[in-house]
Amino acid sequence: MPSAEFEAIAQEVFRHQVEANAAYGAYCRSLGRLPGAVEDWRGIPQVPATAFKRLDLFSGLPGDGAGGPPRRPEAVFETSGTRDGAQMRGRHPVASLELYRSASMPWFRRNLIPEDAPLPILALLPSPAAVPSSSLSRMAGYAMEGWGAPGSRFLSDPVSGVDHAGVRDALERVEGEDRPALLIGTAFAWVHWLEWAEERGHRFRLPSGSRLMETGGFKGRSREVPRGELYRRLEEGLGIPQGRMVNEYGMTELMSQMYESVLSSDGAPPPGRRIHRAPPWLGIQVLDPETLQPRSVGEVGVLAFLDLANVGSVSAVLTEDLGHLDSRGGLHLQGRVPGAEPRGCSLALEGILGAQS
Amino acid sequence: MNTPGVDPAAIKATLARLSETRSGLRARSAREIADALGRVGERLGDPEDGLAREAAAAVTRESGLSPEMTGRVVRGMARDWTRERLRELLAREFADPAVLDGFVDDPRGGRRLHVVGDPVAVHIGSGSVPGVSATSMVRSLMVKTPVLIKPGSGDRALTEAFHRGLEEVAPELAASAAVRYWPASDRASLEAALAAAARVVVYGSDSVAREIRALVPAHLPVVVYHHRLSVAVVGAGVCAAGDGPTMLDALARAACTFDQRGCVSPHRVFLLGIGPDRAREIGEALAEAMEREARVAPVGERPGAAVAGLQQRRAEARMRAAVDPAVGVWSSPDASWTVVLDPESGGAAEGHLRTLTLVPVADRRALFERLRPLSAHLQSVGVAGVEDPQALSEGLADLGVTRIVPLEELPFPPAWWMHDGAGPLRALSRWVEWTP
Repeated sequence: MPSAEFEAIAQEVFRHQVEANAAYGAYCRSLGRLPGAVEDWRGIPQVPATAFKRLDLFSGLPGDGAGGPPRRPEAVFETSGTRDGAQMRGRHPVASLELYRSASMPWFRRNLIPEDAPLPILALLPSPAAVPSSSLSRMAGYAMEGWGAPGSRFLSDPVSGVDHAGVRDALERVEGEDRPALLIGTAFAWVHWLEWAEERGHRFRLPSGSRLMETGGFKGRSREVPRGELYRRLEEGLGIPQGRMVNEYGMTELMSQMYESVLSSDGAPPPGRRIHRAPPWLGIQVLDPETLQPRSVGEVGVLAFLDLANVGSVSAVLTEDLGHLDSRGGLHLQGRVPGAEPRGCSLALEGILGAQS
Repeated sequence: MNTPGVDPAAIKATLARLSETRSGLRARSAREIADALGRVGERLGDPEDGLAREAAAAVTRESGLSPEMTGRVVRGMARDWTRERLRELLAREFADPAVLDGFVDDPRGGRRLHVVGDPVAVHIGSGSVPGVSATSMVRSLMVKTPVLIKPGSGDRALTEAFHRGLEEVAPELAASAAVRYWPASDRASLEAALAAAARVVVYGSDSVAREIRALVPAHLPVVVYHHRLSVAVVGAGVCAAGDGPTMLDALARAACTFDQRGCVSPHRVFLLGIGPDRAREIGEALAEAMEREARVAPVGERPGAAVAGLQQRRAEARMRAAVDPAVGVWSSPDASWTVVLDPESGGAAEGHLRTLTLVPVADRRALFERLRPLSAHLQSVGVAGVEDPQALSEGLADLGVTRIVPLEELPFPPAWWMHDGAGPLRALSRWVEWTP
């Protein structure tokens, strides 16, 4: 998308959100940054991702509700709540699920199914029917509707999280066929699966061309495995080369996602040196964590996004994640550093409240 | 990274060597030990002393505190390591400190009493508050227990400096203490240390305390100083008395000392019986005090990820302030300090980043209700300008608070403070009664 077009749409979306969302409108007014006074999309006030926990950030689509019934979100996507407990889950109201499909699928296809041909899709996730508030499950569901060959399925278990035996059986079927498959799961689910499979000596050699999407990290989880080690073990256990493992970087608060473009490039660098690419409708800024002023290319800072697909909520979102941009717009993700905060003998309230929940 | 040469075998050997020094340690009088330790403390408290200068430079490098804050912290800690303060500690803990040197008559008659330490103790520190482990070493030696100190990763420099000073002042006494560092991931070294200890003292999070308790045999005494939280309570008197700015400067100083990492650092400030307009005025005045404090003792280094989290909380508070006139936010242009006025504050995360949240409460009852969910971790409460401080203190005591002090005394408790509810020397010793 040309930058002028992105800028024009961003301003239009900004105007709509200031008018339609009382909290966001008041916030922009309090900052003195309103439509017409902001010349560049980078100046549009960002809401912190944490605001999705406590504030109603539904804006609806432009023109919605005019003369009709009151607008309501078609769905509400919720964060996993691992960090602050279930009662503090972030809630992203989605004005249109069709818009979510339109925002998520083209970039998914480009980065995970560049050949645009059907293939079996195995998702170590609950189905969207089981967990309608999971944006990831929705996305996997759309992928199955678009490209899922027979045998595509969700493989979750309400107790253990992953339907281990179901995954094993499905992988055996895929292994016996001559068609590559796409596997989707969170890093945490993959670790669970690997532990189960390794304990029982299950190893697979999936057909050439198979690929794996991993996402989610380990935020707030008790077990963490370095990504390099996870990929090595996945390669050993599934027979999928590390160069065909793709990290998706997304968040419930954004309708759009970023991917490592390893499937469309020759040879993938090892995990940790890969680059995420954003779709053209997702703007990225890197800001100085201390001042929130823009940082130059190559400088690490806190990431902020302007997602035009968030038109029904708030598009400008400030995250806690760190990274830097290269001169070609590639995002080098650093993520959060667990335990990075200086530790004292004072317990952060978060710790107390987390423990009590 | 471990102290060079530290491994399970070396730790075992060190503990064996420390145990051998016990008889020599017991032969010294408690007063003599306190004086030797006090001479080291006095050197560290003298900014012109080479040991103090060396320690300050090392602490700054290690802790991430600014040089100005390091100076305040080292001076503040050393204030309570002097001969005068340690003698006072002995006197406050034991009516007759000679009870540490042998049996003395119970003043009420009928028996003789003696306080004894242990053959050898292991003190496990964690975190990055300078001075915690040096204080722990002082306490153990004062009850005549040889001690292996494992400081927190950010508390090595001052502990090692104290021990170096002790080697110069009283080498025989220094031989009863050893400072060794190993990271939390080195389970073998931890287990080797715990296996040979007669008493274990743990500073750290609830999970660290739980883990260490599980590794220690049931018969062994374990003293746990788990993570704590401190708050302030400010009443309407802080304004009426005309001493508002002074009190708020003390509050800002208490919050910023240790860059808010201390268990004595306040995070929330309850405005008792103060209306919305006055609460906002206090917020503005406190913001000015935080800025003054930032100029006197600038904030130290913080990882970008921690500051990014702070920016989330700031921005969220600003959004809420835009729609709720009861909410206010004041902050530095950079991330040095933040003051939030938020009557609904409850679930928001707050870190160690010079952030104070003002919470207006109608009365004591409402205050106690707000504090109750935190009671298991409450420690110090700084108080200023409240009516009926007696009733407030009794209510706080019921909630689990162990220290109630004026705001200016929050950051540096005296050597004899009731650390988490118990005398610091009595917690490390046992009484023996002898009825002749």
